[in-house]
Amino acid sequence: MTAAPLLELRDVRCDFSVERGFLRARRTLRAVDGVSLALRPGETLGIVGESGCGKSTVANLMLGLIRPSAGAVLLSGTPIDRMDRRAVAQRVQPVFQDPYASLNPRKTVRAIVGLPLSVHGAAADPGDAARRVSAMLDMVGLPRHLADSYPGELSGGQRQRVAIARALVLRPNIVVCDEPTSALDVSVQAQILNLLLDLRRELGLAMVFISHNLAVVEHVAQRVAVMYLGRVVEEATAAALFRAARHPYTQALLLSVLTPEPGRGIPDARLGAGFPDPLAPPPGCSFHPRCPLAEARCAATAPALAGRGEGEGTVACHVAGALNSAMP
Amino acid sequence: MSGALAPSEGIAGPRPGARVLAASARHPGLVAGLAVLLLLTVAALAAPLLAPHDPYAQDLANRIVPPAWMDGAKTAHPLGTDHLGRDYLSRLLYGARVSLGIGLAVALLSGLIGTALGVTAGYFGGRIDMIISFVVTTRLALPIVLVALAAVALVGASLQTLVAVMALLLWDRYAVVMRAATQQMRSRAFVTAARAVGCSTPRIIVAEILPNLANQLIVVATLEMAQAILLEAALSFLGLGVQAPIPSWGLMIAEGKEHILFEPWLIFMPGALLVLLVLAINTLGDGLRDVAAPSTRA
Amino acid sequence: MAALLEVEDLHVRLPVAGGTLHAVRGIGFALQPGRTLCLVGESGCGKSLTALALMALLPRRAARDAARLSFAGTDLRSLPERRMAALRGDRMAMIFQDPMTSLNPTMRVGTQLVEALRRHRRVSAAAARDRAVALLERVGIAGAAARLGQYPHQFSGGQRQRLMLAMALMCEPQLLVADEPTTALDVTIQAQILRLLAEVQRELGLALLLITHDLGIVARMADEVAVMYAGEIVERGPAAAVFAAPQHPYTQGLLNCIPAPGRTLPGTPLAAIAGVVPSLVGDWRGCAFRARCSRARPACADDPVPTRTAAGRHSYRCVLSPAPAGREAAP
Repeated sequence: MTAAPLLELRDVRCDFSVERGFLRARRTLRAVDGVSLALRPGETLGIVGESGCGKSTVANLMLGLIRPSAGAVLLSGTPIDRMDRRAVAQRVQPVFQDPYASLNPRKTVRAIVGLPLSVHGAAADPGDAARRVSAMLDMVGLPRHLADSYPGELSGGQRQRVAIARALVLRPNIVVCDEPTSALDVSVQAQILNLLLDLRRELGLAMVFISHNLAVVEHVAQRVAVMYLGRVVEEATAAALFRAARHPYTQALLLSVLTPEPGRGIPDARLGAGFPDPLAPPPGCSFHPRCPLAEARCAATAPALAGRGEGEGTVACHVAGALNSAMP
Repeated sequence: MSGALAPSEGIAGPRPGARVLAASARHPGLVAGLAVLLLLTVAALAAPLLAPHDPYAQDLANRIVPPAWMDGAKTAHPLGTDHLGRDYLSRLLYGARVSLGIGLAVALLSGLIGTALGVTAGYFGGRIDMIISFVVTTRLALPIVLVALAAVALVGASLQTLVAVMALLLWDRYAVVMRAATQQMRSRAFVTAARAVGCSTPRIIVAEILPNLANQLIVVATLEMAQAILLEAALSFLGLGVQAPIPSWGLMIAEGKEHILFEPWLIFMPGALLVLLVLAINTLGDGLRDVAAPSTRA
Repeated sequence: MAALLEVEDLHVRLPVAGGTLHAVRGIGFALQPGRTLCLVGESGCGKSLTALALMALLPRRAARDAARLSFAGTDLRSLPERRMAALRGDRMAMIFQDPMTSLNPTMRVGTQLVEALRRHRRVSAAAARDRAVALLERVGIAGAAARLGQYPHQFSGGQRQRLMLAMALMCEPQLLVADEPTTALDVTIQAQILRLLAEVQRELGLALLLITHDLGIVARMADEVAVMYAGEIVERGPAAAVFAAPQHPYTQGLLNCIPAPGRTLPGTPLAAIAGVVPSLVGDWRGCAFRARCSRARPACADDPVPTRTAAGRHSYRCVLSPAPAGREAAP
C-alpha cells in the first residue's frame, strides 16, 4: 500500500464528440467521468463493467493513445501526455480482446513480435533481434517453427500468445489487458490466463485486467474497480468485493454471473429492462433508474466515492453508504 | 450465422496460393480474362517480332486490301491493309502496345494520386477528410471527356499530355475505395497496437495499413485501366488523343469510318480487339474482387 | 411422452479447399415438448450447423443426411423446401446471436411481427397486431403499442433480442431453436433474457433447443445436456447427472478450466486442456479428443468408440469406465 503508484489516473474525464447523423447536432459523449485509479508495482487491477461503461477508454488513456479532456494520467508521477510516445511504449503495452484483429494479417509472427524492437532500435543487430524474438516465443509457449507463419494460419489461442509476446518484447513493467480472453474458447481461455499469471510472476509485471467476466477477474486481480456509465462505482480488494459487494450494481453483476451449478435457475437482479442512453445519462446517480434500492435523493445528487467500511475500498452509493454508517 | 462456417480453432486456413487456385476453379471468368489479357500483352510486347511489316510503311499500290477470308486477299497482308496501304495486322499489333501502355501508365499514375488522397483522408479523418472528400466530389462533377478534350486542345496533343490528363482525371475511384478501406483498417486493433508500440504515423500507414489494401488496390487498378483504354480510344477517335501516324485502335477506327459501308472490317477489327481487351480486364477485375472479398458473394 | 424432435445419425459435410469437412459426424438426440436440451461445445464443434441442419438452413454447398430426422411425426429429410418453409417460423422457430439476422432494418417492427404471423395463418391484420402488442409486452418491451411503428435500430441490443423472441413466438411454435441467443449481451442483460426465455418456455410448453458455449448457461437452463466435440456428441444426459458426475474427459476438462469461486483459488493455474481441436477435413478414426486427453491409451484410436452408460440416461463415448461423482476425481 505504501509503494508509489506506477500508473495513476487522477480525476480523469474523457469526452468524445459523437456525430448523430445528417444535419443533427454533434453531441458530447462523456466516456469517462471523474475516474481516479492507481496501479502499484506488481499489482493486478481488475476493471469490470458492461459495454459502454468506459473501461476500454480507460485502457486507451492508460496507454497514452488518447488524451484526457480533464485530469491527469501519470506514469510514475509524470503526466503521460508530456512524455515521448516511445518512452510510454517502453513501459506500458496492451493486449487486446480480439486476436483476429490485433495482428496484422500481412505480417509473419516474427515481424509482428519484432516490430517493437525495430521501432525502438532496441536490438543491437538483426541477430540480436532474432534471438530476442525467439526467446519471447519460447516464453509465451509458441513453437519456434511458427515464427514464419502468418496470423491466418494460427488458432485463436496461438494468436493471443503472439499478441502477448509483442506486448512483452520491450519488457514493459505494465501490461494493460483489455478483455484478453473474451474472444477465446473456454479451454483456450484457461491456457492464456495461466500464461498471463506465469508471466506476471516471472517478470514482476503490474497488470490492468479489464473484463466483463467477473469469474475471470476474481481469478487474476488483487484489486477490482467496478465501472458504470463512465464512473467507478465501487473499488476494493478482490477478496472484499467478491465476498461482500456494497454497490447495488456490483451486487447485480455478481448475481448475474451464471456459475455451472445446475438447478439454481436464472437469478433475478431486478434491474428493469431499460439501459440508459450514454449520450443522455440520468441525473444524480446514473444507476438509479435501474436500481432496486433507489430513493428520491438518488435521482437528485450523484453520490461521491466514500469508504466502504469493512476494510479498505470505496463505494459511490447513497444507500450503501447509509448501510455502512448504520453498521457498527 | 456467419460464425457457423468460420474455420475453427487450430484448423489453419489454406495457404494463399491454394486459395487462389481454388478460387480460379470457382471463377472461370478470372482465368479467361487473365488468359486473354496475357495473350494480348505478349502480342503487344512481341509486336516487332510478330508484325510482318513496318506499321508505318505505306504502299499506295496496295490500299484497302481485304483480310484473308475475303475475296481479293493477299497472302502478304493476312489482315489486309488500310487506306494508305499499311499492313493492318502490324498496325493492330503495335496498336495493342499503345492501348496497354497508356492504360497501364494511367492506372499507375492515377493510382498514386488517388491512393495518396484516399489513405490520407481515411487515416486522419476530421477536417482533412472533409477537404479531400470535397476535392473528390468536385472531380466527380467534372465531365471527363469534355475536360480531357479541352485540356488536350489547350496544351496540344501528345502521348505525354494524354497520359497526364487522364491520370489527373481518373483517380477518383481509387480515392473513394482507399478512403473507405483505410478507415476500416484504422479501426483494427493491430493499428492501435502499432501506435501503442510507438510507431510513427507514416510507418503505420506504409508498413501496417498499405499492405492490407493491396487486394482492393489491384481490383480498382484493373477497372481504371479498362476505363483509361476506352477513354484513350475515344479521344483518339475524336482526333485529340494519339496522333497519326502512331497506330492506336481508336485512331484506326476513326480512319476507317469513311469506309464503314463497303469495308466495315477496317472498323470491326480494332473495335473487336478493343472490346475484347476491355472485357478481359473487367472480367479479371471482377474475378479478383471475388477472390479478395469472398464475403460479398455469399 | 413422445418426442417432438428426433434426430438419429445426423451428418453435415462441407466441401472445403482441402477436401470434405465433416462438421457434424453422426449425432442423435430427442427432445420432448416442454423440455430444454442444451447443445454445448466450443467453436467449430458443429453445434450451430446442427441447428441449421434441423431448420434446413444450411449453406447451399453443405450436405445433410441422417438416419432419422423427424419433427412431430413429419420426416424432415425428404420434405420439399416449400413445405419446410411452411413449417419454419410457424411450428419450428429459431433465434440467433445477432438479432439483425431475423430483423429487417428497413421495416417497421410492427409490420415484421404482423407478417411473421400472416405468412402462416389466415388472420386479420388487426388480430395480428393485437397479438404483436401482447407478445411485445410479454417479452418486456414497455409501451408496446407505440413501439410497433419503430425500426429495429431504435431498440437497444437486449431489446432487439426480446423483439426477435417475440417474432419467433408469433405463430406459437412447438419448437424453438436458440443459437447462442445471449452471447453478444452484457451479463446483467443476459440473465434477464435467459429468465424470459425460461418463463416463456414454461408458459407455452415449448421444446427448447439451446445452443451455447457457456457451461453456466447450460447448468441453469438445461433439462438435458449434450456435450459436442469435433462434430460428435461425446456425453449426454440429464443436466444434474452430467454436472454432478461428468464422465468424458473433455466434459471434465471443460468444467475444470473455468475459474469458479470456491473451487479454484485465485491466482493459481487453471486446469487448461492442452492442444487444439483437430481438423475434421478428411476421414477420422477413433476418439477425436485423444490427442488432447491426459488419459488417452492405444485403444482410443479404434473405431467405434464405445458408448457407455454412467447411470440411467446419462451416457458418454469413451473407453474409460464410469467414475463416481465428483469431478475432482479427474487428474
